[in-house]
Amino acid sequence: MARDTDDLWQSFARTGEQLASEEDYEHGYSREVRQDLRRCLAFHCGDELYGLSITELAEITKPLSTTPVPRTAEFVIGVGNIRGSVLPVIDLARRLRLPPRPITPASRVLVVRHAGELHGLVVDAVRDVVSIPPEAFEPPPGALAGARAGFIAALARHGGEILILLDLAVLLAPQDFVRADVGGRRA
Amino acid sequence: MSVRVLLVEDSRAMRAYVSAILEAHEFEVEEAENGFEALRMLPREHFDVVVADVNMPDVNGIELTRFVRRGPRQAEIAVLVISTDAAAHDVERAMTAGANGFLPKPFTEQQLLEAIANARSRVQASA
Amino acid sequence: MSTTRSNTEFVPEAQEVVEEFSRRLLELEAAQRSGGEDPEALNAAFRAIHSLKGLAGLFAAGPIATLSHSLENALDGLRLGRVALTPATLDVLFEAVETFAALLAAFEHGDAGPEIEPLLARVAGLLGAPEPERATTELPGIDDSILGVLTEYEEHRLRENVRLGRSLFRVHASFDLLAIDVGIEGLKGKLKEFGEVITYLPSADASAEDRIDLDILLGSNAELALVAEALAAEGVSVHPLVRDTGTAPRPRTAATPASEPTRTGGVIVEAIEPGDELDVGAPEVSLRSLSRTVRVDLARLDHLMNLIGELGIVHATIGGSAEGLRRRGAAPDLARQLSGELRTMSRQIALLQQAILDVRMVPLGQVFDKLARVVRKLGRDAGKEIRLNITGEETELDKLIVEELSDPLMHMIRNCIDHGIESRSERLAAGKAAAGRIDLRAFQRGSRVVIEVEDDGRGMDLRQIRDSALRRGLLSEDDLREMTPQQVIELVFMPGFTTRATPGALSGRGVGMDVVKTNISRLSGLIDVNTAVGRGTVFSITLPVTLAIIQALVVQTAGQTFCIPLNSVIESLMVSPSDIRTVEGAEVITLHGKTLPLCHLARLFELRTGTRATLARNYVIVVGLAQHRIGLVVDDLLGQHDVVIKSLGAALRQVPGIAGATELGGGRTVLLIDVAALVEEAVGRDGTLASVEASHGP
Repeated sequence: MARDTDDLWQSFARTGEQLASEEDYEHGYSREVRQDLRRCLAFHCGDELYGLSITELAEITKPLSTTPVPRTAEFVIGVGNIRGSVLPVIDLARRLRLPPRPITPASRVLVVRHAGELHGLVVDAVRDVVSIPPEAFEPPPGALAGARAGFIAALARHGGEILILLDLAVLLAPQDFVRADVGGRRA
Repeated sequence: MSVRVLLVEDSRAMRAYVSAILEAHEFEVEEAENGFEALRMLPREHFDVVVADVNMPDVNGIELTRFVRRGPRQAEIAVLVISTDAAAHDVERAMTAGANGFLPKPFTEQQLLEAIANARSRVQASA
Repeated sequence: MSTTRSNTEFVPEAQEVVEEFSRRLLELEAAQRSGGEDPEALNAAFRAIHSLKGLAGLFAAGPIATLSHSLENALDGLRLGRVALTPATLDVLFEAVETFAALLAAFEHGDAGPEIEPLLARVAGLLGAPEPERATTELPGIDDSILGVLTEYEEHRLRENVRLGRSLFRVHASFDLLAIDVGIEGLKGKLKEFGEVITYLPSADASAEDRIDLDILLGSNAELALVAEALAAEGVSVHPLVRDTGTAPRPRTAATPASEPTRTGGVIVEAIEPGDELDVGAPEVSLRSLSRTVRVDLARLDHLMNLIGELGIVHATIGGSAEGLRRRGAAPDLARQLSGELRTMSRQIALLQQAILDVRMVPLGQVFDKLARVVRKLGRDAGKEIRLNITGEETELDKLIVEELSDPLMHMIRNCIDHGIESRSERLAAGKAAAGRIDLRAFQRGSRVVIEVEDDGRGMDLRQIRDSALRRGLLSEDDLREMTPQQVIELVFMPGFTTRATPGALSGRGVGMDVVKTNISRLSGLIDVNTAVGRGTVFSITLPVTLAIIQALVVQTAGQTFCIPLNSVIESLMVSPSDIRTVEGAEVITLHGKTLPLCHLARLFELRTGTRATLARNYVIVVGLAQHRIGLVVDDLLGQHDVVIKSLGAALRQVPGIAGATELGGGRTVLLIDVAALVEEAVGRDGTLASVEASHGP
């Protein structure tokens, strides 16, 4: 399912909307390139298919070695280092309050840029980059999957599947990183 | 206390050769691969002997000798210049600038040790 | 000397030299085709052969030595202009490259190499070629003290430059010893744009002992003013090369030009007619830069620093591999050579690091000047006459630290004027000078900078401090009774503390010494106070010189590695369990007659200690924040390292007790402990400030 990440990365770094052509046919669009398609990286975490806009993505790597950071929330795996930049690496499944997932050869770290800083999200597998037209997006239904609802920015229908688009601002909210029972510094 | 030598020589193999000889004879050797490096080390560290190639780019051995002779502890540092004997003119100027000895390349272990000993004895005699 | 060692080193080194020789010949050929000369390439070719000859002699490589000796003579003749460089000459030289390659291959395999006699004859033939007709050029007005230290070749180049109608300049530059290599490289590049650098004349008589002055002889077709302007940088000045150069007092770069200067873009340039250049005693052109600065975002410098940090890590990794190689005993010569080269690399990295740190450094004078204005104004407002003595304003600190210092120093000065210095009548009654004195001193002590603010005022009155603390309900009578005088004095650093019943006109603006303390702590600084009633008070701030790179103590506890900034470490010691006592449930040890509370790092961070919970020995790292001291207990000390601090990012920045991360060898990311936060936590947990430093002195 997951293609070699390097190829994948190169493919979307290199190009454009051509990558969307398969999907275009599937949806009956002409090959004429639409300017309003949103390109998203589709990836697996648990049983669901998630998506992140590729504009939020800096890099995809294989799991990297991390140093645990004391006093942080359970979902914080630690800090990793990518070419000299230190970044927090989190376990996406735990962050979404899903059961813990094992690291497998397909596991990847999505390095995302949020609020000017890099963060690593460990996911089960990366699937593909897809182009999604605006009309395929839906707001997150209020009644959906209680605990996770807050992390969802939107849903997108794509080739008969539903892509859950994550809201990085919520996912990476700094106040959640410090463990709740560590009150921070005394005033 | 062992004798501290600053070896200024731009040829790597030559530095390795001279260092190996001197270290085998309990000298403490610091290497500089050009005149600038030597200039940086001279005022900051204590050296008893400076062994310098005369013919180096940028800052040559004559200039280095003059620099040592104008610095603090000028009379205490023995300066031995090494060069091919073809460069007679340069060696002569190095000696005028205050070098205590000259060793033509190529030289043997024994010749190097003798030349250093002679240069040091000249310094001690004049001190 | 063992011969095996020689052989392994000789061939690769010699091959490199021959390649260099070949490259230079190609450059010469290119220059010749375009009808020009390339003295630099010619000299480099000579030097290559000179090195080869030395090498071959040392390692008894007979034919190579013979051939290079003969070539050296020919090349020496070429570079000194005694032999003309023709296409035929180049043919011979290129042939030598081929022959050397064959000879080296033969030497390596112990074979007999090719015959060199025919080539030797051709090389000798070069020397027999008619000498180009060139009259010896006179060198008027150049002092013997300069001529006397030139090599024959340099003197020849000097003459050549004169013959070609170039002007000779003496470029005077001054370099920090630490950064001379870096500085020279930059200057060299610029100089080459203007002509030929003939030589560098170093002199030790620089204004400061950690600097070196260099006179650089430059031959150039450009006009002095043009060269001068292009080279305008701190400490670089350009002069015509004149007779009195060697004997005249060395010009100071800050010297005022003799005639009216014209200012263009912040650089003082004095017009000099080309004809004036060889005049004896021509006025010096001072180019001391006044506003030749480039504004650089600190983030860019941080980025550079990170890159250097990376380089350092690569270096450490190679060092580890070299050490492994050495332990295995394989290829000891190579291992030795490698470690020598690593030392060189380490020196260069250190220089690079220093050079960048230097860029970030600004003199404290920037802040002190501001304070001088504040003192004048506040003194007038308070009706007190105050003399401010500033020393050490040239002391440099990282730009960020200097900026952060401005507020704390302002508060301290306000305090001096408001609380410290008495009114005129009080002073006269006490037999003091009418004018109060404030000394603002800065000086470097090791890797730290100390800033002292001293006044000759009334000093601190312990009774008044105690009363004030009681009145404000900060401490109880019992608490106060237990405290030593020094501890009482340090109460002034507590939030909400002031000795005035009503806020003073000056310092009563809702900020006090606690803010000063917090700001100083943030900079990893310590603050101390000393006072004598009737004589005055001294506040001393001790700061690290720089924040970007720090020295850290690397420790290990519960299997995890951490760094502790060395500038907050006061000492480290080994303790056995029997040294540790318990006071009201808290572990303490007695150190220098004082009780030191202990905090186990593993417990603070809730690290899984496994079965290693009880070690026969522990290490205690005594750390301090402002006036507090605690002992951090760890399993092991791994050593000291210079580390580049990296931010953890917004998400993890607020984790208490962790200040950042850094990289140690092997790509490991290691957390840097926030000593200030841990000390604050410890102090808070123990309830009062006093119990931390409760004295059990003899």
